[in-house]
Amino acid sequence: MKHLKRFLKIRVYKIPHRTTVVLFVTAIIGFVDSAYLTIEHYMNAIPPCGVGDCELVLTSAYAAIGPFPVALLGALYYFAICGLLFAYFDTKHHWPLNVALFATVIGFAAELWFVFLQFFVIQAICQYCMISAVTAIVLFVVAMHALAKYSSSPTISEVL
Amino acid sequence: MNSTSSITKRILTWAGFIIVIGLIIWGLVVAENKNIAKKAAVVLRTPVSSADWITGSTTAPIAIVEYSDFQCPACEAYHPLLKRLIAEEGTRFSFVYRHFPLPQHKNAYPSAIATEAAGKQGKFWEMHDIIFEHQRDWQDLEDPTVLFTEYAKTIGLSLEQFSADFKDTSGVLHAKAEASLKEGQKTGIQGTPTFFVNGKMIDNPRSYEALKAILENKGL
Repeated sequence: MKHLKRFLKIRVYKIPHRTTVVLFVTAIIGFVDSAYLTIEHYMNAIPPCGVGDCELVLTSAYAAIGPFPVALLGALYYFAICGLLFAYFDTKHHWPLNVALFATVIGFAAELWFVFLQFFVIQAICQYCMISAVTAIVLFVVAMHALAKYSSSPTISEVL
Repeated sequence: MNSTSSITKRILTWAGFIIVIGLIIWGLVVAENKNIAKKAAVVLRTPVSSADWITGSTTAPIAIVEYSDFQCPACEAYHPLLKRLIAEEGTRFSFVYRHFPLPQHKNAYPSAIATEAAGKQGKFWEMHDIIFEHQRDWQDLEDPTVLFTEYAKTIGLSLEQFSADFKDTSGVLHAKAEASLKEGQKTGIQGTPTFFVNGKMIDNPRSYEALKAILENKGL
Protein backbone atom coordinates (compact mmCIF):
# COMPACT_ATOMS: atom_id res chain seq x y z
CA MET A 1 0.00 0.00 0.00
CA LYS A 2 2.83 2.32 0.97
CA HIS A 3 4.63 1.50 -2.28
CA LEU A 4 1.47 2.05 -4.29
CA LYS A 5 0.95 5.47 -2.75
CA ARG A 6 4.57 6.33 -3.43
CA PHE A 7 4.25 5.12 -7.01
CA LEU A 8 1.12 7.15 -7.65
CA LYS A 9 2.87 10.25 -6.33
CA ILE A 10 5.78 9.97 -8.76
CA ARG A 11 5.78 13.10 -10.79
CA VAL A 12 6.86 12.98 -14.38
CA TYR A 13 8.06 16.56 -14.49
CA LYS A 14 8.00 18.59 -17.63
CA ILE A 15 7.09 15.66 -19.82
CA PRO A 16 6.70 17.32 -23.20
CA HIS A 17 3.15 17.51 -24.46
CA ARG A 18 4.24 15.93 -27.76
CA THR A 19 5.45 12.81 -25.87
CA THR A 20 2.04 12.24 -24.32
CA VAL A 21 0.40 12.97 -27.69
CA VAL A 22 2.66 10.35 -29.34
CA LEU A 23 1.62 7.87 -26.64
CA PHE A 24 -2.06 8.71 -27.10
CA VAL A 25 -1.96 8.44 -30.92
CA THR A 26 -0.02 5.15 -30.74
CA ALA A 27 -2.55 3.75 -28.26
CA ILE A 28 -5.40 4.81 -30.57
CA ILE A 29 -3.72 2.97 -33.48
CA GLY A 30 -3.32 -0.10 -31.28
CA PHE A 31 -6.94 0.18 -30.21
CA VAL A 32 -8.25 0.41 -33.79
CA ASP A 33 -6.13 -2.59 -34.80
CA SER A 34 -7.22 -4.75 -31.84
CA ALA A 35 -10.85 -3.63 -32.04
CA TYR A 36 -10.88 -4.59 -35.72
CA LEU A 37 -9.58 -8.09 -34.90
CA THR A 38 -12.11 -8.40 -32.07
CA ILE A 39 -14.98 -7.47 -34.40
CA GLU A 40 -13.70 -9.97 -36.98
CA HIS A 41 -13.59 -12.61 -34.25
CA TYR A 42 -17.17 -12.05 -33.13
CA MET A 43 -18.38 -11.87 -36.75
CA ASN A 44 -16.67 -15.21 -37.36
CA ALA A 45 -14.54 -13.74 -40.12
CA ILE A 46 -10.88 -13.66 -41.02
CA PRO A 47 -9.50 -10.30 -42.15
CA PRO A 48 -7.81 -10.03 -45.54
CA CYS A 49 -4.14 -10.81 -45.15
CA GLY A 50 -1.63 -9.27 -47.55
CA VAL A 51 1.42 -10.42 -45.61
CA GLY A 52 1.77 -13.66 -43.66
CA ASP A 53 -0.97 -16.10 -42.78
CA CYS A 54 -3.62 -14.47 -40.64
CA GLU A 55 -5.89 -17.52 -40.78
CA LEU A 56 -3.32 -19.73 -39.12
CA VAL A 57 -2.60 -17.28 -36.33
CA LEU A 58 -6.15 -16.11 -35.72
CA THR A 59 -7.61 -19.61 -35.66
CA SER A 60 -4.79 -21.09 -33.55
CA ALA A 61 -5.27 -22.24 -29.98
CA TYR A 62 -3.33 -19.15 -28.85
CA ALA A 63 -5.81 -16.67 -30.34
CA ALA A 64 -8.05 -16.88 -27.28
CA ILE A 65 -7.60 -17.17 -23.54
CA GLY A 66 -10.60 -19.08 -22.29
CA PRO A 67 -13.70 -17.50 -23.81
CA PHE A 68 -11.92 -14.22 -24.57
CA PRO A 69 -10.13 -13.55 -27.84
CA VAL A 70 -6.65 -12.14 -27.28
CA ALA A 71 -7.65 -9.26 -29.57
CA LEU A 72 -10.36 -8.23 -27.08
CA LEU A 73 -7.81 -8.15 -24.25
CA GLY A 74 -5.59 -6.05 -26.52
CA ALA A 75 -8.44 -3.67 -27.30
CA LEU A 76 -9.18 -3.27 -23.57
CA TYR A 77 -5.50 -2.65 -22.86
CA TYR A 78 -5.22 0.07 -25.50
CA PHE A 79 -8.56 1.54 -24.42
CA ALA A 80 -7.26 1.72 -20.84
CA ILE A 81 -4.06 3.46 -21.98
CA CYS A 82 -6.10 5.95 -24.06
CA GLY A 83 -8.47 6.57 -21.15
CA LEU A 84 -5.64 7.13 -18.67
CA LEU A 85 -3.83 9.52 -21.00
CA PHE A 86 -7.07 11.34 -21.69
CA ALA A 87 -7.63 11.63 -17.93
CA TYR A 88 -4.14 13.14 -17.64
CA PHE A 89 -4.86 15.63 -20.42
CA ASP A 90 -8.14 16.52 -18.73
CA THR A 91 -7.11 16.73 -15.07
CA LYS A 92 -3.31 17.18 -15.23
CA HIS A 93 -3.14 14.75 -12.29
CA HIS A 94 -0.02 12.62 -12.35
CA TRP A 95 -1.44 9.29 -11.28
CA PRO A 96 -3.25 8.39 -14.54
CA LEU A 97 -0.09 9.22 -16.47
CA ASN A 98 2.01 7.10 -14.10
CA VAL A 99 -0.35 4.15 -14.38
CA ALA A 100 -0.38 4.48 -18.20
CA LEU A 101 3.43 4.67 -18.40
CA PHE A 102 3.96 1.63 -16.16
CA ALA A 103 1.12 -0.33 -17.79
CA THR A 104 3.05 -0.28 -21.06
CA VAL A 105 5.30 -2.93 -19.48
CA ILE A 106 2.32 -5.34 -19.42
CA GLY A 107 1.54 -4.69 -23.09
CA PHE A 108 5.20 -5.03 -24.05
CA ALA A 109 5.61 -8.36 -22.19
CA ALA A 110 2.39 -9.73 -23.68
CA GLU A 111 3.47 -8.74 -27.19
CA LEU A 112 6.90 -10.35 -26.74
CA TRP A 113 5.09 -13.58 -25.89
CA PHE A 114 2.75 -13.32 -28.89
CA VAL A 115 5.58 -12.53 -31.31
CA PHE A 116 7.47 -15.55 -29.93
CA LEU A 117 4.37 -17.72 -30.47
CA GLN A 118 3.98 -16.50 -34.04
CA PHE A 119 7.61 -17.04 -35.02
CA PHE A 120 8.44 -20.23 -33.16
CA VAL A 121 5.26 -22.10 -32.27
CA ILE A 122 2.60 -21.29 -34.88
CA GLN A 123 5.30 -20.49 -37.45
CA ALA A 124 3.08 -17.98 -39.19
CA ILE A 125 2.73 -14.23 -39.05
CA CYS A 126 -0.42 -12.19 -38.77
CA GLN A 127 0.10 -8.64 -40.02
CA TYR A 128 -2.52 -7.20 -37.65
CA CYS A 129 -0.82 -8.87 -34.68
CA MET A 130 2.49 -7.42 -35.83
CA ILE A 131 0.95 -3.92 -36.00
CA SER A 132 -0.16 -4.41 -32.40
CA ALA A 133 3.35 -5.58 -31.51
CA VAL A 134 4.83 -2.41 -33.02
CA THR A 135 2.39 -0.13 -31.17
CA ALA A 136 3.06 -1.95 -27.87
CA ILE A 137 6.83 -1.63 -28.39
CA VAL A 138 6.55 2.06 -29.31
CA LEU A 139 4.41 2.70 -26.20
CA PHE A 140 6.90 0.85 -24.01
CA VAL A 141 10.00 2.57 -25.41
CA VAL A 142 8.47 6.07 -25.29
CA ALA A 143 7.07 5.44 -21.79
CA MET A 144 10.37 4.14 -20.41
CA HIS A 145 12.23 7.01 -22.01
CA ALA A 146 9.78 9.47 -20.44
CA LEU A 147 10.13 7.82 -17.03
CA ALA A 148 13.91 7.80 -17.23
CA LYS A 149 14.20 11.36 -18.46
CA TYR A 150 11.41 13.21 -16.72
CA SER A 151 10.65 11.44 -13.44
CA SER A 152 13.67 12.68 -11.49
CA SER A 153 13.13 15.19 -8.67
CA PRO A 154 12.63 18.69 -9.89
CA THR A 155 15.07 21.44 -9.20
CA ILE A 156 13.91 24.38 -7.09
CA SER A 157 13.80 26.60 -10.14
CA GLU A 158 11.59 24.04 -11.92
CA VAL A 159 9.20 23.95 -9.00
CA LEU A 160 9.12 27.71 -8.75
CA MET B 1 -21.38 28.71 -11.03
CA ASN B 2 -17.76 28.15 -11.93
CA SER B 3 -17.85 24.72 -10.35
CA THR B 4 -21.01 23.78 -12.32
CA SER B 5 -19.54 24.93 -15.60
CA SER B 6 -16.30 23.07 -14.92
CA ILE B 7 -18.26 19.86 -14.17
CA THR B 8 -20.31 20.36 -17.35
CA LYS B 9 -17.12 20.92 -19.31
CA ARG B 10 -15.60 17.76 -17.89
CA ILE B 11 -18.72 15.70 -18.63
CA LEU B 12 -18.74 17.01 -22.19
CA THR B 13 -15.03 16.27 -22.63
CA TRP B 14 -15.45 12.67 -21.48
CA ALA B 15 -18.64 12.24 -23.46
CA GLY B 16 -16.65 13.37 -26.51
CA PHE B 17 -13.95 10.80 -25.76
CA ILE B 18 -16.49 7.98 -25.36
CA ILE B 19 -18.32 9.08 -28.53
CA VAL B 20 -15.06 9.04 -30.53
CA ILE B 21 -14.25 5.53 -29.27
CA GLY B 22 -17.82 4.46 -30.04
CA LEU B 23 -17.57 5.95 -33.54
CA ILE B 24 -14.34 4.03 -34.16
CA ILE B 25 -16.02 0.74 -33.17
CA TRP B 26 -19.15 1.57 -35.18
CA GLY B 27 -17.01 2.49 -38.22
CA LEU B 28 -15.16 -0.83 -38.01
CA VAL B 29 -18.42 -2.80 -37.80
CA VAL B 30 -19.88 -0.89 -40.77
CA ALA B 31 -16.67 -1.43 -42.77
CA GLU B 32 -16.73 -5.16 -42.01
CA ASN B 33 -20.39 -5.46 -43.00
CA LYS B 34 -19.59 -3.67 -46.27
CA ASN B 35 -16.67 -6.06 -46.79
CA ILE B 36 -18.96 -9.07 -46.28
CA ALA B 37 -21.51 -7.62 -48.71
CA LYS B 38 -18.76 -6.86 -51.22
CA LYS B 39 -17.50 -10.43 -50.98
CA ALA B 40 -21.00 -11.85 -51.36
CA ALA B 41 -21.29 -9.79 -54.55
CA VAL B 42 -18.32 -11.65 -56.05
CA VAL B 43 -19.69 -14.60 -57.95
CA LEU B 44 -18.08 -17.59 -59.60
CA ARG B 45 -17.44 -16.90 -63.26
CA THR B 46 -17.28 -20.57 -64.17
CA PRO B 47 -20.08 -22.73 -62.79
CA VAL B 48 -19.26 -26.13 -61.33
CA SER B 49 -19.02 -28.69 -64.10
CA SER B 50 -17.87 -32.24 -64.72
CA ALA B 51 -14.44 -30.81 -65.51
CA ASP B 52 -14.05 -29.92 -61.81
CA TRP B 53 -12.77 -32.14 -59.02
CA ILE B 54 -15.90 -32.80 -57.00
CA THR B 55 -16.46 -34.81 -53.86
CA GLY B 56 -19.54 -35.24 -51.68
CA SER B 57 -22.94 -35.30 -53.32
CA THR B 58 -23.05 -33.99 -56.89
CA THR B 59 -26.85 -33.70 -56.73
CA ALA B 60 -27.03 -31.75 -53.43
CA PRO B 61 -28.38 -28.18 -53.62
CA ILE B 62 -25.36 -26.78 -51.76
CA ALA B 63 -21.97 -26.51 -53.42
CA ILE B 64 -18.76 -25.25 -51.84
CA VAL B 65 -15.99 -24.25 -54.22
CA GLU B 66 -12.54 -23.66 -52.79
CA TYR B 67 -9.77 -21.88 -54.65
CA SER B 68 -6.71 -23.19 -52.89
CA ASP B 69 -2.95 -23.52 -52.94
CA PHE B 70 -1.38 -26.72 -51.59
CA GLN B 71 1.56 -24.80 -50.11
CA CYS B 72 -0.55 -22.16 -48.38
CA PRO B 73 -0.50 -22.81 -44.60
CA ALA B 74 -4.02 -21.43 -44.18
CA CYS B 75 -5.33 -23.83 -46.84
CA GLU B 76 -3.64 -26.63 -44.95
CA ALA B 77 -5.34 -25.41 -41.77
CA TYR B 78 -8.75 -25.59 -43.45
CA HIS B 79 -8.09 -29.06 -44.84
CA PRO B 80 -9.08 -31.02 -41.66
CA LEU B 81 -12.19 -28.85 -41.24
CA LEU B 82 -13.34 -29.62 -44.75
CA LYS B 83 -12.48 -33.31 -44.43
CA ARG B 84 -14.56 -33.50 -41.26
CA LEU B 85 -17.45 -31.69 -42.92
CA ILE B 86 -17.31 -34.03 -45.91
CA ALA B 87 -17.19 -37.06 -43.59
CA GLU B 88 -20.15 -35.83 -41.54
CA GLU B 89 -22.33 -34.06 -44.09
CA GLY B 90 -20.91 -35.16 -47.43
CA THR B 91 -24.21 -36.51 -48.66
CA ARG B 92 -25.82 -33.09 -48.36
CA PHE B 93 -23.39 -30.86 -50.25
CA SER B 94 -20.73 -31.02 -52.91
CA PHE B 95 -17.19 -29.81 -52.48
CA VAL B 96 -15.13 -28.60 -55.41
CA TYR B 97 -11.39 -27.99 -55.35
CA ARG B 98 -9.87 -25.50 -57.80
CA HIS B 99 -6.18 -24.68 -58.10
CA PHE B 100 -4.92 -21.20 -57.27
CA PRO B 101 -1.15 -21.71 -56.81
CA LEU B 102 0.34 -18.46 -55.55
CA PRO B 103 3.60 -17.36 -57.16
CA GLN B 104 5.33 -16.82 -53.79
CA HIS B 105 4.94 -20.54 -53.00
CA LYS B 106 7.54 -22.23 -55.16
CA ASN B 107 6.17 -25.76 -54.76
CA ALA B 108 2.51 -24.86 -55.02
CA TYR B 109 2.38 -25.29 -58.78
CA PRO B 110 4.24 -28.66 -58.85
CA SER B 111 1.94 -29.93 -56.10
CA ALA B 112 -1.10 -28.89 -58.16
CA ILE B 113 0.33 -30.84 -61.11
CA ALA B 114 1.00 -33.85 -58.85
CA THR B 115 -2.69 -33.93 -57.84
CA GLU B 116 -3.76 -33.58 -61.47
CA ALA B 117 -1.42 -36.43 -62.42
CA ALA B 118 -2.97 -38.56 -59.66
CA GLY B 119 -6.41 -37.47 -60.85
CA LYS B 120 -5.62 -38.92 -64.25
CA GLN B 121 -5.46 -42.26 -62.49
CA GLY B 122 -8.63 -41.56 -60.52
CA LYS B 123 -6.93 -40.63 -57.27
CA PHE B 124 -7.03 -36.83 -57.17
CA TRP B 125 -8.54 -36.68 -53.67
CA GLU B 126 -6.10 -39.21 -52.23
CA MET B 127 -3.18 -37.13 -53.52
CA HIS B 128 -4.92 -33.91 -52.41
CA ASP B 129 -5.12 -35.29 -48.85
CA ILE B 130 -1.61 -36.68 -48.61
CA ILE B 131 -0.08 -33.51 -50.05
CA PHE B 132 -1.90 -31.30 -47.54
CA GLU B 133 -1.13 -33.63 -44.64
CA HIS B 134 2.60 -33.56 -45.42
CA GLN B 135 2.84 -29.92 -46.44
CA ARG B 136 5.66 -29.14 -44.01
CA ASP B 137 7.76 -31.99 -45.45
CA TRP B 138 7.85 -30.70 -49.03
CA GLN B 139 7.14 -26.98 -48.89
CA ASP B 140 10.79 -25.93 -48.65
CA LEU B 141 12.32 -28.58 -50.88
CA GLU B 142 14.30 -27.48 -53.89
CA ASP B 143 12.65 -30.27 -55.88
CA PRO B 144 9.65 -32.09 -54.36
CA THR B 145 9.47 -34.69 -57.18
CA VAL B 146 10.95 -37.54 -55.12
CA LEU B 147 8.54 -36.98 -52.27
CA PHE B 148 5.53 -36.60 -54.56
CA THR B 149 6.53 -39.88 -56.27
CA GLU B 150 6.64 -41.52 -52.83
CA TYR B 151 3.13 -40.23 -52.15
CA ALA B 152 2.05 -41.63 -55.53
CA LYS B 153 3.43 -45.00 -54.44
CA THR B 154 1.66 -44.76 -51.05
CA ILE B 155 -1.74 -44.15 -52.62
CA GLY B 156 -1.19 -46.93 -55.15
CA LEU B 157 -0.62 -45.11 -58.43
CA SER B 158 1.23 -46.47 -61.42
CA LEU B 159 4.55 -44.75 -60.87
CA GLU B 160 5.55 -44.90 -64.49
CA GLN B 161 2.42 -43.09 -65.60
CA PHE B 162 2.55 -40.65 -62.69
CA SER B 163 6.13 -39.67 -63.49
CA ALA B 164 5.37 -39.25 -67.17
CA ASP B 165 2.32 -37.06 -66.44
CA PHE B 166 4.06 -35.07 -63.73
CA LYS B 167 7.03 -34.27 -65.96
CA ASP B 168 5.01 -33.47 -69.07
CA THR B 169 5.24 -29.67 -68.92
CA SER B 170 3.37 -29.11 -72.16
CA GLY B 171 0.46 -31.36 -71.36
CA VAL B 172 -3.18 -30.95 -70.52
CA LEU B 173 -2.54 -31.06 -66.75
CA HIS B 174 -0.59 -27.81 -66.84
CA ALA B 175 -3.23 -26.25 -69.05
CA LYS B 176 -5.89 -27.23 -66.51
CA ALA B 177 -4.00 -25.80 -63.51
CA GLU B 178 -3.18 -22.60 -65.39
CA ALA B 179 -6.76 -22.19 -66.55
CA SER B 180 -7.99 -22.55 -62.98
CA LEU B 181 -5.50 -19.91 -61.80
CA LYS B 182 -6.47 -17.47 -64.57
CA GLU B 183 -10.16 -18.02 -63.93
CA GLY B 184 -9.63 -17.32 -60.24
CA GLN B 185 -7.76 -14.11 -61.04
CA LYS B 186 -10.56 -12.96 -63.36
CA THR B 187 -13.10 -13.75 -60.66
CA GLY B 188 -11.25 -11.39 -58.33
CA ILE B 189 -9.65 -13.79 -55.92
CA GLN B 190 -7.01 -12.04 -53.83
CA GLY B 191 -5.66 -14.86 -51.71
CA THR B 192 -6.09 -18.43 -50.61
CA PRO B 193 -8.16 -20.12 -49.51
CA THR B 194 -11.19 -18.42 -51.04
CA PHE B 195 -14.55 -20.13 -50.66
CA PHE B 196 -17.74 -19.83 -52.65
CA VAL B 197 -21.01 -21.23 -51.40
CA ASN B 198 -23.58 -21.70 -54.14
CA GLY B 199 -21.54 -19.42 -56.37
CA LYS B 200 -21.16 -16.54 -53.90
CA MET B 201 -17.88 -15.68 -52.19
CA ILE B 202 -17.97 -15.94 -48.39
CA ASP B 203 -15.78 -14.58 -45.61
CA ASN B 204 -13.43 -17.34 -44.52
CA PRO B 205 -15.04 -19.03 -41.51
CA ARG B 206 -13.05 -19.04 -38.30
CA SER B 207 -13.91 -22.53 -37.13
CA TYR B 208 -15.64 -25.77 -38.07
CA GLU B 209 -18.78 -24.58 -36.31
CA ALA B 210 -18.73 -21.30 -38.23
CA LEU B 211 -18.29 -23.15 -41.51
CA LYS B 212 -21.17 -25.47 -40.68
CA ALA B 213 -23.34 -22.52 -39.63
CA ILE B 214 -22.85 -20.92 -43.06
CA LEU B 215 -24.06 -24.12 -44.71
CA GLU B 216 -26.95 -24.48 -42.28
CA ASN B 217 -28.08 -21.00 -43.30
CA LYS B 218 -28.24 -22.33 -46.85
CA GLY B 219 -30.45 -25.19 -45.70
CA LEU B 220 -27.92 -27.92 -44.89
